[in-house]
Amino acid sequence: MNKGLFIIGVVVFAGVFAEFIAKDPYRVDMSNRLLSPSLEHFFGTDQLGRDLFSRVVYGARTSLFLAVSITIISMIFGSLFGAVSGYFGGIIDDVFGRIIDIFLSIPDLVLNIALVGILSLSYGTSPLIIIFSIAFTNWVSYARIVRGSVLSIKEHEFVLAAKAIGASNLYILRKHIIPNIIGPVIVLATLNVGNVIIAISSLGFLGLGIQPPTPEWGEILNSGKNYLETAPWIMLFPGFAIAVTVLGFNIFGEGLRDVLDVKKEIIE
Amino acid sequence: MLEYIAKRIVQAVIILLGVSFLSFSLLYIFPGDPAELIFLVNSGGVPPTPQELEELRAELGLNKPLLIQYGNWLSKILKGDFGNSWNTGRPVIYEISQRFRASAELFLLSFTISAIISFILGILAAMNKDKVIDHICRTISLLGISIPNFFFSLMLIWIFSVELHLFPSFGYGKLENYILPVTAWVFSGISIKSRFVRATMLEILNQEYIIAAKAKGLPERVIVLKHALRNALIPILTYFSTSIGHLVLGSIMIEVVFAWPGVARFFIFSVFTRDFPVVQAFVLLSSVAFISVNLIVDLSYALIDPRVRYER
Repeated sequence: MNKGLFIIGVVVFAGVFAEFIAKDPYRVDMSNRLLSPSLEHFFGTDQLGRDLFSRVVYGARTSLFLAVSITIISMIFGSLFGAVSGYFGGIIDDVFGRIIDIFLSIPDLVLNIALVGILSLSYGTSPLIIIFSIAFTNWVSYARIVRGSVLSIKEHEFVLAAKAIGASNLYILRKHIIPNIIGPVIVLATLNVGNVIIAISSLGFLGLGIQPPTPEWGEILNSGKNYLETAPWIMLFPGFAIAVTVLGFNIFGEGLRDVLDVKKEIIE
Repeated sequence: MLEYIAKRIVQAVIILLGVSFLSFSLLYIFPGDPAELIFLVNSGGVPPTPQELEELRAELGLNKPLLIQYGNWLSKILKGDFGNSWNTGRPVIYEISQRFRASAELFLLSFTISAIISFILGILAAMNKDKVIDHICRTISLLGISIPNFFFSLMLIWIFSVELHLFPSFGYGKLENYILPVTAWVFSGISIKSRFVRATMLEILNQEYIIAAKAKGLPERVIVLKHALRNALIPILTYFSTSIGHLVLGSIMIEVVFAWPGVARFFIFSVFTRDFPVVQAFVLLSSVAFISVNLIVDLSYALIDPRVRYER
């Protein structure tokens, strides 16, 4: 868990203080293209002579910004959706529950790709479209878990007791339901950041995500795939950056799950 | 029993309707006029005159209310008519069936291999909890969910095609073409599956009847193979078969990296060329595959294990 936190710390530091760590990630220098890693360029240079280390460091900012935005949006929307569905039950739960089922049945990446493809036709590819497209499928895992937890919590006697003394729905939600679902939601969110980072970089790799010259790990990998023979480092360093970051969030998330004692069946 | 089957089928039909409506409305997420979009894509960006737009609307039935359009679209799809691809002009269903075999081969091969490896690895890890083999299993599964499969695929190409010249990085049909894509897929496949096998086995090994068997002095091998494995088999098989539904997810990136002539790569190509009928069909069909596999698994589970019928 500490290892995970350490990795996340390093990546966040790189993203926040990119200006102080790295050079200009946009500076093209055609006389120094495809240089191998050296003291001058830690990760070498890319096909346009840009410093790869700087692009990977700034890429952390892009990925983290997108991943955190998507996670927060899906967490808030999904949790509310699931809480309302589970708490009120009846016809509301029938409708909301079916909507959750529908979204669980669509392969995420397929819908993400279709949405980004269609929306970018009219708006051009912007970070906003990527955030919307991924959040559009991502919220449902929060909704499912929160709905399930709320359904089981509201059967407990303390909720019944609160109702009996005339507590309002809002009060019960705030005082009894939310404190009980916050643990699973935090664990899910931590593990989810890793998956979202992979989704963002997958879109970038397909050429549908963040567009060059903005540094993004998937986009750098995409250009690196054409230089496997002459400059494999263009593909290796952003790839390692993704893998290590996702690993960090997964280790930390699994540690949190054990510490907060969230049942494994709820989140796997 | 009949009641359970009926309930489950009704549920699946409702989900299918929802998914189909979502795939249908993809065209309408586009802000503005879908007719204009269709015209722009097909004319290569030349804007339509108002009269041309009106004609196209009438031709495609786009001047009717949304729900009626959806009904027409759905009734065609139920007859197997997904419309024609804007790229090729041929029926979407023909284009997809042409590429289905390549995808299915890749999938079945990878799925079988990853299922066998996960099964063995998961059981060994559970039997030797906290020993070397368990750590190896956990490390593999942690790496498998953390390394994106397109990056893993590129590393395979870099090492085995570019540097060692052992296997080709693209191509289709010969045995050597399957090795790298299947390896990439198996790597990400075993990460989740072996973890599930391990967890299921561990849970069962803690049950009282296992402790009783141990107290009787039965050898470890008999306990695991005869008592634990039999009970673990149903959840494991269920989990494996529902993961069939996720086949399209793994295949998209792998088919793209290895230029595999399958359905998923055709989908990406269609997204880039704004071939809407193909995109809609792919979103719908991949969800249908997922829903039907889940339904079949649930129903057969109910047949095997009577408890299920009453629980839900």
